[in-house]
Amino acid sequence: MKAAYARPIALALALSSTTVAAQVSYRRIVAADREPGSWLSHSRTYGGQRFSPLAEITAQNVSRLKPVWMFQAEAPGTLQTSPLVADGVMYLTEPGSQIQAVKALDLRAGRLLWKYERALPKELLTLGFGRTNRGPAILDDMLYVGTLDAHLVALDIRSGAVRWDVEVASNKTGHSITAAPLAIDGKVVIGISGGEAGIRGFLDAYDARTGARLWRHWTVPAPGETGSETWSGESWKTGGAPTWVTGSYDPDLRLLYWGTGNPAPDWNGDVRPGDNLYSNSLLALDPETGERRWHFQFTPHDTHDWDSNHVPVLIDAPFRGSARKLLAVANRNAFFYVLDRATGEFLHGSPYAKQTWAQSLDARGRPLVRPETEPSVEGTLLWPSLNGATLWFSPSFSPRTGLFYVAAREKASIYFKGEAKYVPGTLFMGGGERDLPVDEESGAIRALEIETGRLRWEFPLLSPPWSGVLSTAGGLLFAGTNEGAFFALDDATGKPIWHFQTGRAVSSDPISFLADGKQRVAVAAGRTLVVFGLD
Amino acid sequence: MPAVWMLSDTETWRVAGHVRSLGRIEAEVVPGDVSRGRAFYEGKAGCAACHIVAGRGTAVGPELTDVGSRRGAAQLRESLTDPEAALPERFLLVRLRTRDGREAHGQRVNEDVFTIQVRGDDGQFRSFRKDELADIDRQKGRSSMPSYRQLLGPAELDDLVAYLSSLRGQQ
Repeated sequence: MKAAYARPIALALALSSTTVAAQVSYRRIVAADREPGSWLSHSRTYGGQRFSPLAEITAQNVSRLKPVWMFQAEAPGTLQTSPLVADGVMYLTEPGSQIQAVKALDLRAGRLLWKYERALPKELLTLGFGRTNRGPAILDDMLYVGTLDAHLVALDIRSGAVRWDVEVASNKTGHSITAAPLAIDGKVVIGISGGEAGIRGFLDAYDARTGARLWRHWTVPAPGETGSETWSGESWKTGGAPTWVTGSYDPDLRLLYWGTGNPAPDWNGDVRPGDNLYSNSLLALDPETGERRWHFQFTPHDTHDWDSNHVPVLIDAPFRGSARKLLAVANRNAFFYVLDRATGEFLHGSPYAKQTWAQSLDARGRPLVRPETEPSVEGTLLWPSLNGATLWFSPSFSPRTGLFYVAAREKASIYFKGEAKYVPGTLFMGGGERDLPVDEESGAIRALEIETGRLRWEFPLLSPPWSGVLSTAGGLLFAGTNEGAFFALDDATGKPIWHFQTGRAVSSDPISFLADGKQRVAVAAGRTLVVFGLD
Repeated sequence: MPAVWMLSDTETWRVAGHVRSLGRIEAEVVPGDVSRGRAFYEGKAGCAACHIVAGRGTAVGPELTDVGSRRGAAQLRESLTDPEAALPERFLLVRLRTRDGREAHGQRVNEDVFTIQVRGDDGQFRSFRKDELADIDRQKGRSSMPSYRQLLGPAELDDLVAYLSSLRGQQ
């Protein structure tokens, strides 16, 4: 496949004519495998696999991989963007400080084509997380970006001009957006951050052309609604359950899958007895109405901030002898889960990292929680840590190997319980946590078997990673370390076969695409995006 | 320029706000009717085929959402009657010919010593290494925007200038 500019056609100057530019239609995104050189959605496909069908770069030639160009963000902070690639252009988002920027880069040379800059309010609230952004979404001739001041903005993909700009929620109450939106059939779905500010979580869908809100799905039910019995008193109003990591979508089943975060306050569950539905859950929603079709709660009544905000990975594979439509999640709570994504049926769950909070999962996937694991005044030592066994960064599934890959964190926290008083626009956490000495920490890239969760192989890391994982049809797995290495492993064995020192910690999700008909792999490290190729 | 370590966040914002205000043109009283000008803009003059205002239109030429705060009425009038006399800084049309005989024409959007990026007349971005180009025709002073001197009468021109002057973006 050639990039769009590989064969420029002769063009006539046409005064005042309406231009006809390539459009990234919904059909193109659904059929993303037909154009493996593009990266049209957060995880490339709606299925969330972060797998590239490109196979030019292999175990045999990856030793020749070298930087082709680099991009340096103007903003301070860490680039956590997962860029998009369409029709010769890369679109990425920068972390926010006083300005939040979106940039379009020429895919061939990394040169700026346009930028959008948004002045953030000086009283901006980002309670409980960094001022980051994890990427844009694209649909037709618009690029969609969530902002730290909790707006959703639609930009013209040819110029960066604002087409529309809507306030999703007030930032004054700690609502914010760091997630990449998910653009589906005429709709832009966007999640919200603010689980540490005592927001009442929701997931929104907006009309892609006009910005009109189509539906809002509250992740904490109001009194009288199903699940409201799992809250007490007024606690639902400040119940958390934010939606701050991009979901997945099955166009055939017409189901949208989205994870929810911790109930609020984080570490003091006394004010919210019960399971606190639908926090720490996977929701399957009707994309037309936002109505819930099914849910699965990973960590009922969470008191350790173990958000279930992960990209759900959709896999069609045989499972115990029959073809199933599966959904896999390596959860922040250290368990790996496989569900039937049509029904929500629990099929499998097992730990993939050290955990000391649950005996096991029962037949329906509910954890059998060990005694004395609650945060306490004197402190409770528990694995995994506050940041969990994995976090927002993406896992990967390779149809080539049938393996699920996750960057796993081996780390404990000492959890403390404290008072929790809700004051709008302030932290509402009810305690805190303390880390053990860093010498006690480590990490690994792990390859899990889907049917059993069994560890096929692992590649040990010195420290708990913040990097997503990319698998490719070339038989490679790409990920990065806190110490700045970006590396390739053999996807079948975990053997390291290439690495490059970027100079800063990798805390982003790698992607792969074609430029000039040649495979590229890109990853952000620090505030630099590095694009690699064989020549 | 050194980093502004001596200023607090609030002071930094105040300075930034002042500097930003220096580039803004004060609103001026101009002859012409804004609503009629808007009707010309969206209708007979066909401006939206090449410009975006408040999210509507097509991005061939510059966005005009706040053009009234960046350009005075006289400059706006000149850009309508004689576009090539009032080009924005760094605006350049180019015609490129590759060594193997391909051609592209459009607006240069970026350039360095080794590469050049063009938004073609079809709205598509293209990027070229200069060592693959046989010729770069830099059409300095040229614009793809037509002159409206003959297309609109004096009153219509006044109305259009009044409308463009009223476009001041987000206040």
